[in-house]
Amino acid sequence: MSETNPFSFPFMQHAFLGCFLVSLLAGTLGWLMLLRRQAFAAHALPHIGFSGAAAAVWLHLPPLAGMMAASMVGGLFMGQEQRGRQHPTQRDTMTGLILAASLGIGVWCLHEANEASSQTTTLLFGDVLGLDGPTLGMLAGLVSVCLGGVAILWRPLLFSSLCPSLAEAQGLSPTRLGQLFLLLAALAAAACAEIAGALLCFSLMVGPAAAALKLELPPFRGMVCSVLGALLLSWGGLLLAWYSDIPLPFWISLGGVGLYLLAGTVMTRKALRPVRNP
Amino acid sequence: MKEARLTCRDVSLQVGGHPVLHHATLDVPLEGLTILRGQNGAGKTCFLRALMGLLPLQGGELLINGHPPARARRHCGYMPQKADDTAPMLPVISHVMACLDGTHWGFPAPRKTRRKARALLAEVGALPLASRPLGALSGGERQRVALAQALAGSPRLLILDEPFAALDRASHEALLQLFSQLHQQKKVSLFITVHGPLQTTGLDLPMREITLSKGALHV
Repeated sequence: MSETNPFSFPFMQHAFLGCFLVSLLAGTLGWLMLLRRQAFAAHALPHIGFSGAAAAVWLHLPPLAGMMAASMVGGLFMGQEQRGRQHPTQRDTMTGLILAASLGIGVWCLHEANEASSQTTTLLFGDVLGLDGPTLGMLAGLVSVCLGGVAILWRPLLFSSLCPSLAEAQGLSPTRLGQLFLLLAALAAAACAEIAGALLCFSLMVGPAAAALKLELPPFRGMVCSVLGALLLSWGGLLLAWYSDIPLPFWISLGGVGLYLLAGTVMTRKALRPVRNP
Repeated sequence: MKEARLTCRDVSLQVGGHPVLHHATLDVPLEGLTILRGQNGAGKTCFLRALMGLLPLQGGELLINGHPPARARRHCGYMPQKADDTAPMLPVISHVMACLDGTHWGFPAPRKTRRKARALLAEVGALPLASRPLGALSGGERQRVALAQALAGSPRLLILDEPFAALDRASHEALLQLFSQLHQQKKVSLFITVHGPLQTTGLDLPMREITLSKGALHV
């Protein structure tokens, strides 16, 4: 894009701050979603949110509000999982149906709001360079709500994710917990879509989390690693986009795959290391 | 807490249209080791799940130590027949830590929880496995970790579904010795299901057998 210092521009400073906020969310929620085998939900939530944003554009409302509302409603329905013989097939079927229905509604809303095509493109591909003060404030609020929610739910969520049978036997409801968690994930997906767009925010949530899980780290360290990975992808992607003129989502998506391959290489080298005699 | 006791009053239990218990009545102490026997498909696992309050009864009353399952389960540890393996890449210690106060809100105190988890693993002879990924364990090792998880809530009663399945003879005997040790040192009673022969001679703990057959329970 330019040979000048990217940090000297206010819009780039906003972009770095926005990426920092979103990486906190994507790393944390993404790690939990993969642990709970909800990668499909992580993919579906921003798309469901996109339909809400499209409806908001049509109704002349803020797109982020529409995105949050639709993702949260979608998350509530997707969280209607029951443990049993059909699980997780039942969960994936539910996610697929909600995704299909919301995309259909989204297409209709876009058709009705055909004058707002630039806004639609922004929703699909993100607009990290267009972040202003109020949007950053809203992102900071979302991050606080989501991370606060994760902190409150932390023990039951981890218990029911790692030992679902035992958690249920101790009276925890997988349906209730799943719904609460997906509500938080829906908010996180809406925030991530501001940066990477509905199409590619999935890669920011999944890539670093997959690499952290591949490293077989315990929960807290795994989440910190996932957050750092998301930060590396988003900040690194911003700099690469600045100097290469290739859009940020491209770098985030490929970077996510790169992080996973790197984690795989680290684990292979670790496995090949000779065992020391005691 | 009262003496460990299992009471069934006119209990009917059906799962997927298949009758497991039909107006069954039973009242037995659960001190020591109680073995529930029955043929494959008799409904032993379903009965255990009903004991943990995971399956609703169609009729009658089921009490553990005088309390219904939803209340009594706070004092019960449960080990399912097939242990959970949803996150095989995470270390064993994380799986045990997750079970400690897992129903409470918020973050745990990490050092204290880790210390407790290590103590539980040491109790079942699985401390050397603490940093290994769960998915890399053998059947016998996984069983020991599952037992440590079941002990996480300091239960007075352990409900174990087929704990000897897929264990070789040596692991079999070691597990029985561990049961005896748990009873003597921590006063934990055990309620287990078994469908094959079980060599219990020389075991130093009170024992009784219950048979589940054709919808009825017999001592």
